Amino acid sequence: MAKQNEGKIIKVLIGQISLSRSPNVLQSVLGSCVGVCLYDQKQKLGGLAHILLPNSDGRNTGELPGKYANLAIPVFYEAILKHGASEKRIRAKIAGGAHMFANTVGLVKQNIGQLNVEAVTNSLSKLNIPIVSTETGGSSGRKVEFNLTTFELHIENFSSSGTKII
Amino acid sequence: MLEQEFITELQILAQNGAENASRALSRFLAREMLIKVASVSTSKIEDIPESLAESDAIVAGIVTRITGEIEGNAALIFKEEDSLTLIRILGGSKKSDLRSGLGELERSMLQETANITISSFMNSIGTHLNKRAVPSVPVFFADLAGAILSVLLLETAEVFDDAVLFSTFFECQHENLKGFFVFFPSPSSLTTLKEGLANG
Repeated sequence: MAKQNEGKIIKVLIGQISLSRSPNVLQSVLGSCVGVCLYDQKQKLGGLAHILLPNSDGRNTGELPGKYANLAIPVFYEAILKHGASEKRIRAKIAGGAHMFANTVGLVKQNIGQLNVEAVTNSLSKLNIPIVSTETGGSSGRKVEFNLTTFELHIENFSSSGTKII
Repeated sequence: MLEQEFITELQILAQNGAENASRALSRFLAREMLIKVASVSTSKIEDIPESLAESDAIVAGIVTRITGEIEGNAALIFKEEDSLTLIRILGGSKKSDLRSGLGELERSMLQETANITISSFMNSIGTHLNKRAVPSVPVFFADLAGAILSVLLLETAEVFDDAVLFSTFFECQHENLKGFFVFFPSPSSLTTLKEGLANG
């Protein structure tokens, strides 16, 4: 993972959305969850949403704004605009969405990981936010760190050695 | 969610279940497995993985679905070094890490350990409440703790922002072996647990 200079590592837990600036790093551990990074490089501003489920099906977000993809992305977008990002410059990177426990009877009813990725992609598309890069799918967890100085997303996938940077 | 008085009653169940599981595990391993903590709590979904283990810790998670009148997801989880100790105790091949994969025999050893622990725990709960709670065949996964725990929480998270969590931490001091068991009742089973306690 990236070496830290003066910045803090901020853990973004399940269902949370966190916005910060350089030199901080935003970190999550993802299974079937999807980590969505939105950023405005010129403003040195970015955020990470740790999305758990694809669709709220009429429920509200409750205490976790990042819980459902369909509700999280618009909230995240509004928040980053409010902090000074420009609509035209906002970009996205996404990671996660593994199909965990694929062969465990009854534990996972469907491929939530894939549904999460699809829901995030659709929500970003509706807001015309370009997706710069993705690292999704598979069947293993990932540790991700979004560096708000370089805007690189560093990904350690449990099933492969080394760190992938997107 | 459950009121505090029910959580308190469930705590007694959890203690009994943990003691039952601890005895079964001690017999299976031929070593005394002590209960460090056996608890039931209602916690915020986002806080649960980190409250149990460091999210980015590599763990062996043996997971199972509980079916019957009480449903939910359960797992027996060991940090990497503890899972390798456990395999050694059970006579499996020496391994240096989980990432490079375990053999069929070693996976089977861990799955049987989980089967005994989880069955003993659920049997105790089910018997006390006079409700069926049947574990399916446990399946071994090596992964990051946060990734495994977040998937176990999905069912509850669809409905609530908090989850009822049964957790039991075991320790074998002689072998420096630690592990923990978790059970997340499904949202629909919370009512069944209440009924069982009311009629118990």
